[in-house]
Amino acid sequence: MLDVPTLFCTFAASGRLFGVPLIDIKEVSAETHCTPIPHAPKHVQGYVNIRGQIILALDLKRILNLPADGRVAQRLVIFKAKIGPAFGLLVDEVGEIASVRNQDIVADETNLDLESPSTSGLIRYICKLPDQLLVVLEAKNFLPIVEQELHQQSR
Amino acid sequence: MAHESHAEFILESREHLQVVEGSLLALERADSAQQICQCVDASLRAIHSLKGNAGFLGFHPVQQLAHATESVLENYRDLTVAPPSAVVEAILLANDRLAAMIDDLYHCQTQDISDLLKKLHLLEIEVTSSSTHSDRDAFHLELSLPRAATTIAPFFETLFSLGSLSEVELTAPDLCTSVDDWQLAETWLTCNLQTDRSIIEVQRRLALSGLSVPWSDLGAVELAKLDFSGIDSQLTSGPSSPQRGELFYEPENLLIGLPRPPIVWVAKKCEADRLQRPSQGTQAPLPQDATTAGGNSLADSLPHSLSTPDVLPVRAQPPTSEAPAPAQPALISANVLPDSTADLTPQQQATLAARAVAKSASDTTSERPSSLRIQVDLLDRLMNLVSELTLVRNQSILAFGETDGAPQAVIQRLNSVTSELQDAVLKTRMQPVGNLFGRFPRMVRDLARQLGKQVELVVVGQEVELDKTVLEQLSDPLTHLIRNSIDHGLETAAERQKQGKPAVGQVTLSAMAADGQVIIEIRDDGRGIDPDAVTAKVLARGLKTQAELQKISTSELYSFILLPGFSTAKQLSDVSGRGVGMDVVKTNVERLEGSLTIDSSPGLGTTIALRVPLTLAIIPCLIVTVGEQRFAIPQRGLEEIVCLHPGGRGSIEHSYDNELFRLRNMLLPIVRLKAVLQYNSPFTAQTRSAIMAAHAPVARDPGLIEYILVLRTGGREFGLLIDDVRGTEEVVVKPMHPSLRKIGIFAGATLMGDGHVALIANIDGIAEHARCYGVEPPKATEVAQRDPADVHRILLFKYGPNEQFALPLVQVRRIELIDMDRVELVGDQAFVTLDGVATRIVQLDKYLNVSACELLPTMHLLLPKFVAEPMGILVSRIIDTESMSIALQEASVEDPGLLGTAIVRDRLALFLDIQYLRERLFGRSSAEPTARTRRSIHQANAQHATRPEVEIKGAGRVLLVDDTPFFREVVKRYFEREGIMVATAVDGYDGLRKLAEAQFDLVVSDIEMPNMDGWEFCSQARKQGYATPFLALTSLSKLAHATKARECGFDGFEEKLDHDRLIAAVLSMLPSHRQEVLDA
Repeated sequence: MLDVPTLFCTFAASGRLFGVPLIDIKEVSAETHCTPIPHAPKHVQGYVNIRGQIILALDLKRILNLPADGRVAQRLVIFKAKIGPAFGLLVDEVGEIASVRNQDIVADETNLDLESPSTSGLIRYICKLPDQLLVVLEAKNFLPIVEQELHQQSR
Repeated sequence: MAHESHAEFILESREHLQVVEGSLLALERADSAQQICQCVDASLRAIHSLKGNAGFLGFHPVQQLAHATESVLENYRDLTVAPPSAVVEAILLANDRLAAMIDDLYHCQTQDISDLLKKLHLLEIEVTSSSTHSDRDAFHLELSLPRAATTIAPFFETLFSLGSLSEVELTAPDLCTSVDDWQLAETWLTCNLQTDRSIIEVQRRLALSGLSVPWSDLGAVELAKLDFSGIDSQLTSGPSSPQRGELFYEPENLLIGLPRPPIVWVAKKCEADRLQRPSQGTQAPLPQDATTAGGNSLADSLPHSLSTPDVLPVRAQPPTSEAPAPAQPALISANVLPDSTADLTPQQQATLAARAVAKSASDTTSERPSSLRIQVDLLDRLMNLVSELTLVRNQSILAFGETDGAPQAVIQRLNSVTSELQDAVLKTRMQPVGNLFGRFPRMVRDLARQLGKQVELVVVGQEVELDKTVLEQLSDPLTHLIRNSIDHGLETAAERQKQGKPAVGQVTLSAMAADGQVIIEIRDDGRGIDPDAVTAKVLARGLKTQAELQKISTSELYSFILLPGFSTAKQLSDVSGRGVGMDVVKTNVERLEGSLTIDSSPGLGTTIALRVPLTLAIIPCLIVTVGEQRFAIPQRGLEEIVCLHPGGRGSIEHSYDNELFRLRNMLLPIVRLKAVLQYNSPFTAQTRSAIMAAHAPVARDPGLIEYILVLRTGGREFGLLIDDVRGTEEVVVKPMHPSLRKIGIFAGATLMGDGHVALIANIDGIAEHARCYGVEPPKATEVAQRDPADVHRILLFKYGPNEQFALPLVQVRRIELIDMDRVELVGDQAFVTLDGVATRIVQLDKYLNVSACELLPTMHLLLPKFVAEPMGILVSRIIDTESMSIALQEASVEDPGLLGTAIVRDRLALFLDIQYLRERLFGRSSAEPTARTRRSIHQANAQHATRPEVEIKGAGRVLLVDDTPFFREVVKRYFEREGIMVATAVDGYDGLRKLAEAQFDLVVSDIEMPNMDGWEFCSQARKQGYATPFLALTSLSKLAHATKARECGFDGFEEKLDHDRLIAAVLSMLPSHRQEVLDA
């Protein structure tokens, strides 16, 4: 079998590098003006208008419990409909596209945080890039977390 | 459900049609008899199933067409030869049409498929006849052409399909000199028909093609006459026979009237300039050189009459090897159409290609569908793009806003185009209700049979348009309601006849658009709802007590039948009576933000009216803010807006665990939107106390301005407190993100003009979240129980600090806010410019004995109605409006500028006499151009100064009949000021009594009165022989009632408070006045 490298879209949040497979991304937008949605879980930053379509913007830092470093999200990474309906992740900035060979992709076994089971399942695997590690997110598990949170809140 | 079975039918039919198409295409490639057989069988099976289904569901055009297709195919079932491509093509065409009809199933009844049916029928006979007849006969036909252009085409089509024509000749037997006469004359066609049909068949076939006139003699057919009105024919009188002129046609001209060019060409080619009558013996044969001369050959055009009826003339070389009979080159056979193009000459292939193009071109004109199916997704995308375009427009306006000149004009244009585009895109979602109504006739018919009743369904307003989604959701409610009408509402024929009703019961289904909503009514003329049965059921189920039931209105009583499990039907039927249906109806209609009312009269029938919004995609909203954020509040539930401002009266007060606002007689519970947004779980006692602690009345910032939106949900009202109102907007509703559907306080989101998202509040959800159940507003019926004619909307306002003034709203045109800086003084008169007109300001203390004005930087100016001159009454504060019955007390305050006083809200209110003020300002109105005018002013002024008893002599005696004390007083004053003596009566009976007691010169009567109304009063008076002129005085629309007024015997008709017109009319009808005019 040929070792075809996988392409990842990388982005930074709280100074760390994350990524999602490039094929899951619909677009990256610089439009980050959010209308807050009262009663929505804290993960939800609000609604963003992307060319007439209303996109639900999630705050990556809040979901992953990353430290707030005072940086304002500059980009919205919007996923294709097969990942979840009309949603995106707010990230600090978008980096380069990483091309990773299969041998450098490893399953994440470090994320065994029993105290916050809600965040487990968000990390898909880890890529060993030459200079740093790229944490690949499981984007399709983000919306279920929002729903779960909302469900608990309304009880 | 009927609807579901239709959806299945559509899916299934599409599959069948695909099978047919596939097998037919395979047939063309098939090379063995077995393959052919298989393909034909497969097509037949599919088309047969389609036919069966369509017939079962009542889609007759589909059934007919499928049947015709089947019949044609049937002929090839046992033949081992493949059907010729003409047949395959015709069937494919039919297949396409079937597909189109199935795609637009509810319009299939309106499709005209007669042409296709005929074509298929011809093909069918073609096959059968060709297998039975082999010899060919020749007939000489002498025909009179049909006059109507519409019947010509099918006639020729049939004629050509019968066989080959030769020696075609076209003549008008009796030619006169003028074109007009000629058009009345008959046009004859003679030709030789070479065919393998029997004479009987030829006759039958020609008669079949819509020609009603029977055959005359052998071979000659008398047809309807040809309409040559569209043909610019050139008419020449032959020198040899002036009575029998001859004509020739320019081919192009004839083309307009005749769908078939061949005859024309023959006519032209056979004789360079003349066509002669056949009786003269000089037949005009179709010579060979006609085709070789480079003209269009008959041979080229004819064969395709079968498959391509609208083929355009194509120039081509005459057929060479394919010409069937070289000795008789003009003899045409319908079978020359080759089954394959393989052995055609290049020219012929080109010809065919050209035909294909021509055919598709003609298809687009003749068979272009008027509608198109579009995915809703695509429409939604269009909608998104339009909103995006709106944003771009807004940004452009901002970017270029400061500059002038060229960019401005471009932006203006962009602006208007964007708005139009938005409207157009919104319209794409609309569908006529006929789409929905169309399915009911069959349902009604079936139900009627099932229940053994005779029912006629009348459908009105099919063209009214509704949003697709609304339309879809109306399907179930309407089905239930119609079932109910037929099952419970209508009686059996025998019962109906016993009651003297027509045996056939009528159910009317009507749609009507009215102010942004559509009203759909289901009306039956059946037995109606029995209020006693409903009462009994309500009592039995313990929903209300006897005492409570006595208070509620009949329509409220009927609304109980909407409750689940509530059925008054004595026995269950298959159709309805389980008490589930009406609940479904109610739920569905409410989901659509619609409403439902029931009206019924026992023995006469029931009417159920649904009101639904035109669309759910766009709703009118109030844009409000809380803190920095904007929210859209749907206006449907909005009753009124109360502004809490420092100068205003009323504030939010605390009860035990509720914030309340005193709104008139109501204690309105208040929900703070800010708190609702802040606490994301439903309110508890703790939440409430926390909110109340944070908003103690004493701690209220006196300068704070807030608004209370009075919202209605489920018949109860509550107040929603918000920071500011930004205005109203029609917003495009987008649903909440699927992951956030659990959030109940929002109904969706929308894009605002600046490109940002705003959330649309869900009023029910907010009330639910705040655990606020609202209060029942005072019943409108309680107000209505008082004499409605006596209830007026009164505007209460202040001028000086002491008095409270009042004016009926009917006398107010509008209220303006004016800056006192803008007031200009001319002498002691004050003016302000409104709409470019210098408007005189009335300072009440100058004309009335009242306290001086409280001067504020901004004041209100009240512009009265029915006053021609520009004047406005200065007002320091508008207090409120009040609906009340005015009981004017005349004597309490003596002032000519006052109509009287009344107690409003426990305070004395002074009712202004606008006409008095106006006269003080401007003198008498210009509407009275008589010499008497000036004298009347003096008289009137004298009167006003001393307010004496009426003592005017001879000016006229008027009987004023009006049931409303207020209007009686106002109008009486108008008259008295003219020096007219006025007697009053309170209704028609009173009026008749007064008429008997004294002599009057004129009767002025109101129309709407209790006991005896104006119509009756006038008719009675006329019957009793009174010849006194009658003037109707009313608030009713003049146009609509003028005829009735004349019929009842009124001599005139005027609007109540329009002073100038009224006085002019009255004066003109008084004898003394008429005399004066003569004197002058």
